[in-house]
Order: sequence, then C-alpha cells, then structure tokens
Amino acid sequence: MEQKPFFGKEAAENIYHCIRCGLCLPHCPVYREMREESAGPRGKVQISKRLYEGDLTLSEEIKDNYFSTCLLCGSCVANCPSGVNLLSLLQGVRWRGVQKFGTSWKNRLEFKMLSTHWMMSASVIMAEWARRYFGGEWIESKIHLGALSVDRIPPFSEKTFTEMVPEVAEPPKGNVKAKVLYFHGCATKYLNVGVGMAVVEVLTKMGVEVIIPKEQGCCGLPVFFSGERKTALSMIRNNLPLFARDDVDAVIIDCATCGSSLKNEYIHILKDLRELGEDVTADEIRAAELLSSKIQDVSLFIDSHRDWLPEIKPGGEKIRVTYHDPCHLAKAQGVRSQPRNILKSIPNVEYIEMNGADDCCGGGGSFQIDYPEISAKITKRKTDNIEATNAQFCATGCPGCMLTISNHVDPAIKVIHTVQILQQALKRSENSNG
Amino acid sequence: MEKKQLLQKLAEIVGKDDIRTSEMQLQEYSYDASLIKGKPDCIVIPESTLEVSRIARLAHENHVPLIVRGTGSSLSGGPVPVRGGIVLLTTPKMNRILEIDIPNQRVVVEPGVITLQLKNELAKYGYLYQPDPASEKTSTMGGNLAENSGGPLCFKYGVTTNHILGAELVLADGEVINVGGKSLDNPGLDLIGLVTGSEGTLAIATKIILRIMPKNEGVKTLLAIFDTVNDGANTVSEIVKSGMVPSTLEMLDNLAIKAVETFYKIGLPTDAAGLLLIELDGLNDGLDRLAGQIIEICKKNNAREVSLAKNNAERDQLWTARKGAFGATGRLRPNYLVNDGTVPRTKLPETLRRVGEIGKKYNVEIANVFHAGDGNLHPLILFDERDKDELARVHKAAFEILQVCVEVGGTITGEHGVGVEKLGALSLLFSPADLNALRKIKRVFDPDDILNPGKLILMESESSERKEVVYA
Repeated sequence: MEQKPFFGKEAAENIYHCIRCGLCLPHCPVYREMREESAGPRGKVQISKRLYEGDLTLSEEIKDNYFSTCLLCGSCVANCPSGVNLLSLLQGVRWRGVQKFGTSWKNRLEFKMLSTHWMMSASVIMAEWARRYFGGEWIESKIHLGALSVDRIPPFSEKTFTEMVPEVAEPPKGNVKAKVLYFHGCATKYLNVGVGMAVVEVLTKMGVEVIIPKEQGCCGLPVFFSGERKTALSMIRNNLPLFARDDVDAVIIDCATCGSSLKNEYIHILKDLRELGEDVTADEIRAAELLSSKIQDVSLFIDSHRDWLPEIKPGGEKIRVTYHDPCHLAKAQGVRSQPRNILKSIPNVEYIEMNGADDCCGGGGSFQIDYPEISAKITKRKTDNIEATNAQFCATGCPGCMLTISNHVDPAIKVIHTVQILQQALKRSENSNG
Repeated sequence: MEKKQLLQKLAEIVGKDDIRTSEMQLQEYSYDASLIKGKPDCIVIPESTLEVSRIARLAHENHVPLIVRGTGSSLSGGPVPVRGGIVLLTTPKMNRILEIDIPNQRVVVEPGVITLQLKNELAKYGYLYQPDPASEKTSTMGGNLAENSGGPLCFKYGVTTNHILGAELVLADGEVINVGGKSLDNPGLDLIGLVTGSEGTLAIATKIILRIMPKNEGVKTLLAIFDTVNDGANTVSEIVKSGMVPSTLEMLDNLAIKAVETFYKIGLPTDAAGLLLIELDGLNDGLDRLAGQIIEICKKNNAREVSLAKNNAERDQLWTARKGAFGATGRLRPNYLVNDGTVPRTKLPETLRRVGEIGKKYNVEIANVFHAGDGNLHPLILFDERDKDELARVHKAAFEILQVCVEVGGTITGEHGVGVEKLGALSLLFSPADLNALRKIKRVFDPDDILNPGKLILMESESSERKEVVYA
C-alpha cells in the first residue's frame, strides 16, 4: 500500500537541517534517563527522514516509539543549533501512525471529551458525584493513573470558572488602559478556578478590561499531538473566530501549553494540513497568524506593564518562593525572566532560584499516565531540586506542571501559579491600608 | 554462525532485553555526525567488563565485526558499522564514574560517561578534566579516548592523550588487560598511548584512568574583531611569539560569525571578516596585565574592536556560541562537511587564502571555525545533500584542502580522527612503509580485523592508497 506523505514541505525541511551532531541529546529528559538513540530527538529526526524518503515503512514499533519517548517539552527544539523542529515531524508521524494502527479507546474517549463541551462538563459532574457518593478512597483504589497518586489530584471545582465570572470584567475605576481577551484553557475552567480568578483580579486592578469568551474550548494540543489532527482541526476552528481579533491589545493566556499551542502550533498545523491537501483555507492561516501575534502569557503581559500595578507596600510575613520554568513557556515561548521579575518585585517575597529550573517536570500531559516509570524518574530530579531550596512556595505558569509537581513534591511546599502570589500580595497590601 | 544463533548466544551473555534488532533500531545506529552510513546487524547493551569480554570472544570466534559506540557524535565515521556487525552501546549501562580521588588528582570512569557529566561532577570539588571538545555536552569519555579528542583548551593543556594515564582493556579475543596506571610514568611499553586515538581498532576500553586538575583561580575572556582574516592570524602568531600561553585562541571567519549570530543573537558584528576568542587562565594576580598586553597586540594588528567579557554570563554566551558554531551552520545550508587539517601556525594566512580559492574553484561556500592556537583548521564546506552535483564538488574541494594542509607542512586531521572519511587521504601523509607499520601493529592486537574494521587503516593495502576521500 502506498504510504501517504507524513509532512508538508515546510515541515519536511527540518529533516534536512539535522546534521546529527547530537547536541539535542543532553537536553532531552527522556534520553537522559534511557540513553539509547531511540529515546532521543536525533533518532526520531533520522527515522522521520527515512520514512519521508520511503526507505523505511511505518511500523507499529515506530508509532509506539514516537508516543512513548517524547514529553513534547521542546527542549530539543530550543537547543538545536541548526534550528530543527522535531515537534512538527513528530505530529506528522503520530498522525499517520494513528491512522494506520489506530488509537486506544481510552485516548479516543479522552479526545472526544476534550473536543465537546457538554461531554467534558458531564464527565466532570459524574466524577464529582462519584467521588462524593462512593468516597474518594473507593475511587482511588479503583483508578490507576500511572505516575500520579490519585489521592493527591485536586478535586474538580464545583462550579466552572466560566460560571463564576462575567463575560466582560471591567476595571474597578478609572480609564481602561488596555483591552484583552482571556483564553483560560480547560485546567482553569474545571480544576484551578483560583488561577483564573487571580488573573482577572490582577488584570482588572491594573486597569485592564478582560473579555472571557464563554464558548472557548480546549486549545487542541493534547489532541493534535496524539495524532488526531482532524479532531484538533474542529477545536482550532472553534477558537480562531473567538480570539483572532485585531481590536484587542492582547490575548492573555495563563497556561504555558495552551499558549504554545495558540502561539506556535496553530500556524504549523494549518499550513501543514493545507500543503497535504486537507481542507484548510488561506484565511484560516491568516487568522492563526494574527492570533499568534496577539498571544501573551499572563506573566509577560503583567511584567511589561508593571507600572500599571497598584503599589505593593512592604510588610507582612516573608515568604520563600522558587520558580519552575514550564517547558512550553520557557522553551516554546521564550518567557523566562518575566515571571521571575514579577516575583522579585514583591516586597515580602524572598526569591530563590533552584538548580535546573528549566528541566522538565516529567509530566508531559498523559505521558505520566502511559509511561509512569520514566516519568517518575524525571519528576524526582525536579522535586529534589525544589526541595533543596527550602522554599515554601513553588511558583510556575502551567497547570500540567502544577499537577505533576504537587503530586510528588513534599506536601509542605505549595505549588501555585505566579499570578496567585501576586494576587495575594496585592490583597495584603490593600488590607494593610486599613 | 547463523545470525539467529549469534543473537541467541548474545542473549545468553547480556539477556534478551539488552539486544536491539528491529529495523528502526538498526537504522538509529547507522550514522554519526559525519556523512558516513552503515547498518549494524544488532545492538547490544553490556553492563560489565565481563560481558564485554564474553561478547568479544564470541565475535572473535565467529569473525563478526565489533563496533563500540557512545553517543555517536564522531565527525569521521568512527562508530558507524560500515561492515555490519555488533554495536556495543556503552551509554545505557556503562556510564558510571567509579572513583574520584581528589588528593591524588585521579578519576576512574566507565566509557559511557558523558564528558560534561564528569566535568560537572568534578566542579563540585573545584576540579577539572581539561580537554574540552566542542561536543563535550554529548560526547563520551570512551569516544574521547578513541578519537584522542582535542578542543579549544588543548592549546595550553594538550589533547586527550595527555590526560589519560591508564585503562582496563578488553582485547579482540576477549582477554582483559590493564595498561598504564595512576602514576605519570608507567613501566613497560606505552600501550595506553598507543590505544588512545586508535579509533576502536585495537581494543575496547572498559575503565579509563584520567588525571584531573584544580580549577584555575581566574579567567579572562577577550573578543577581538578584525576586518581581515590576515590581521587575525597575525595576531595569533604574535601572541604566541610573545611567550604568553593563553588557554584558547579560537577564530571564526565571516560566514561562521553570520551562522552563529543567526542562532545565538549575542550581538556579533556580521560584517566582520573574522573574530578571535582568546582566553587566559591562571592566578588572578597578573591576569589583568597579560590581558592588557593581548589587547595591545590585537590593536597593533588592526583589530577593529577588543572587548573583555564582563562576567561569567557573557563568557558562557561566547563559548556556547563557539561550541554551537558547527550546528549553527545548519541554518545557512542543510549539510556541512568538516575537515580538520592542521597546519603550522605561521602558515595560517596562506592556508586560509588557499582554502578560499578552492571554495571559489568548486563554487562551494566554506565557513571557517578553528583552533588558531594550534593551527587546527575546521573548514566547513556547506551544501545540500539533495544536490548531487554540489556534493561531488564538495568532495573534491575537501580533498584539495587536505592536500594544501600537507603541502604547507601540516597534517590531515587534528582531532576528529581518520575514521572512514580520511582513509583515502592517508597516502598524502604516509609512505607505503609507514602504512604497513600501522597494519603490523593492528595485526598484533586484532589479527582477524574484527574491531571496528574499515576505519583508520584498511588491512587490504591497495584501497588505503586510493587518492580520494571516502564519504559514503
């Protein structure tokens, strides 16, 4: 049977720029644990080349390898001197792999849920009902989630974030300094409602009008990286018209992964699919480019307008804070200094840098569930580094990292979003006003 | 022996979980960072000297090639199984630092230890393993031994062989021997000297004894920008003549500067003809005075600009850019071919001029990144492997560059090894009698030519004397 092309022309160019120097290997968290070529980025680029040129047939082993030995952290992309982007090759091979060998029923269900609002909401209600009715312990004894301990996963929020905020949140007083759209992602909607509340609270206090479109859905990244590009397309098409608007100053995102998806991946995937003859229009690509230019991680936005923040008065209890760089923020979007600037600007924060701050936490979305052993080893390096700082708080900018780290780190250390620390500081400062 | 039986026997030695035979896996061990290709029959992951010894015996008895591999960052085809056979992969299980003896300044490592991993460990004690190949982030100590790797710091501190004192070796028939030792001058023949740089053709190192040094108190890193390559090269000669011994004297030409700047964006002037990266190390006292003298020499030789790295971050940035220079050329064109011919320092301006002429003659772009201190060139000939005509021109240009190096009194490789790539260039340098002497030595260690066959020296004499460079 004739093999369908794996990549569009632009993505395929990556293959030819790999000079096999191996400088990606020491940056790959999976390679560092396994130390075999099949675990690392270079091997995958070289296999992609052979697949693309027709010298190798796509086997189930290759498909499984592309799933089981990549966290999608993008460390190789950020550190490749030749500028090879493995992620766009990976998407193509996973896509054809799933078409040829299928995907597991668990994944199919998961993606269907992520792509459909009512299914997601219903499953959240079901999960909460089950937790209450049977008690957490019973459920926890029945569910195995790879490297994650079920009893340390935070419960779903009783109300979704969307139900708790107005569609437009206006600044309390004075003129509007900027108008932004807020893409909050699934984690904030169902799990970390507090992060969303902090984002809205801080931004409005800065004099920013925040529009939160109610119809927004999953960013699609977990789906299109799992080989389901068609399902992902429907998700992209849901989000594009809501957010690709040039009448706003920025599109704010609180999740590193959603940010990298909307900023980097939408354009890639749309272009690639169009080149491969799928039904994608030039207008859609232009919209994705507009959206990409508007995307700003919340820490980036706040840091570039720090003078809009109300003054934070000194005083209050000193807290020791460290910061973990989410891969999708530091490596995919280059946001490194901004969250640190915010933390360091808070008078009662004693900031301490950990070793290997931008090392992956090992979670990688469903990677930790499907491949717990490797994941746990990578996470252990991370939590050891966090614990060595003696910090009380580990701030970060990604709900995935928050879930993974809080699941494994010493429970005395609280893992929260950078903006939540700022929110608390602003509150304390206001209250001290009397 | 049938392949199936061989695999069965190997499984008895290492267990079947440590053998790889699928097409995907075989493909993943068919390359290194050069252009050489060759597919193995299987990959085996040993975890002890005993296992390596038993595998060697099996290979020996059955005349199967045995190729040791670390991370495959070699630039001459060293670990590529051009004649098939068994690849022994050291990285997964033979990757321990066995001993760190600070008071005696010695360490013992297994071959799969990553060079930088060792350095990071030693840094905790304020110590260093000096050689610094540009690939140190990924290269292994076994590979460094096999290729006798160099690096910028080798100008002052010597190449790998000056830092390896002894090793535990598995011979071709599986015999385990110890050569050298922890002292500086060991009795008997200097076998460790012979094996270091033998590119895996004489024996397999399973333990390596290294000397380490305390970290220097101070470092000064200077960046000098030039409008002509000649001015840069003259500066190098004058610095060396003055009696100063900087730890590094690295040079990048215009094309290399452009490549590096495209990726690293550290503010290098892309219109400069060349730059020198000069580093001094030693006691803090006196470093400033030496730096001042170097700045003077640079200025005297028409440097457009000389600056001193203000802090560690600036210094790291410069070195990251230098060490990523090869890879960064991948942004200009998809592929490069790098030769590492070495010439006497004083011949640098002439050689660079002639390299430029060869580039013009064959209509290929050449970027130069080199260890100017020891005259070790790295002309990177850029191309796109999909263009077969260009590829042919690249091969011709590469061979002529090596010819020039030998003509001006230099040699065909400074640190990357002969591998497969420079087999055809051996005759530029060696007489038939020289080559036969190499063969005799190889026969003593490996009479059946099973250890990394097809590299360094071909046992069938006529093919080593072909007048071309073999690339694929």
